[in-house]
Amino acid sequence: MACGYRVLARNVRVPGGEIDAVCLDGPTLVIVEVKRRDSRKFGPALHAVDARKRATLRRIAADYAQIVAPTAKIRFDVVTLDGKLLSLHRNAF
Amino acid sequence: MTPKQRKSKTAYERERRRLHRLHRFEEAARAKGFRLVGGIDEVGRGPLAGPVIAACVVATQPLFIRGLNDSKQVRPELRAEIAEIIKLRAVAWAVGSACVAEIDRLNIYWASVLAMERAIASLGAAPEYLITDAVRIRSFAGPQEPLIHGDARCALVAAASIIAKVHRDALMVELDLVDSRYGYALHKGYATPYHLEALRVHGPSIHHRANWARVRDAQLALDPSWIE
Repeated sequence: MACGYRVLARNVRVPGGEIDAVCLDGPTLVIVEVKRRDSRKFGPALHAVDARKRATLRRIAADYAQIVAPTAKIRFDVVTLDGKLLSLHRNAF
Repeated sequence: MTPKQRKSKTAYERERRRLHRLHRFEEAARAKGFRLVGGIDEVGRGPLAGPVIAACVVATQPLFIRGLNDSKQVRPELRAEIAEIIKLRAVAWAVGSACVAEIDRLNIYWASVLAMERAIASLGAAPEYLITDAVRIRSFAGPQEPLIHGDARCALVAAASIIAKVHRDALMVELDLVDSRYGYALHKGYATPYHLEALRVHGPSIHHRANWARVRDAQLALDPSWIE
């Protein structure tokens, strides 16, 4: 789903975790987490981005942004794939 | 009883009766044995800019929130308050969206259905019975009941419309911070005189729905050579 983002890097490994994708949406640095669920048995993919994952992402995103773009605004998006349905959750947390 | 007391009492009674009427469709569904009943609605079909947002609300019990109604008939401040109450009382709620590129590619109807499908997919508890606002969602396996003017007739659909409206309005206010030329915070992308004037002056942005006649007109007026 090309929503006008420019992808800067994918699968960025940062001490403490990994960022699935780093994009630019205009002036905003977007940290993207990608989740996929093939069945509904364990709930929607979006719910799999739990508090622990969000905390990890916030922490490593702060570290990462400090290095590449200390002044940029950061936003967190989640891309989910539930079965065949792809969705982008802007500013998910 | 003073006339004033009587008046306030009848107003209260009227609101109670209205709320009862608003819950009759979901009560009928519960009477049939469905426990998780969902209502779904979309906002943002009309505007020239911004995404369509859909919301789905699932509840096991009547919401019964005073003032609950079609999102267009509730004041914005009250809307935000009611949205918070809905989120507390609902078993599950979720929003889904379809972006401008998808609206241009599909068309507004299918884009709003796509937004609804995304909302359902993000739901923590899938509804057993779905009440919609005059659309049929083919990917939803269970029984569904399309209601014409559902947002004004059914509490769950009204609740969904309020959640979606509050979400979209906040999004458009945020978009206004990124691109302040069009005054999204004022009209949320709808075709007001202010918006049309800004569109004439600046031309469409990437957040405008390029296929819309009025967006197209603005583009053509600015750049007559731009004809597909």
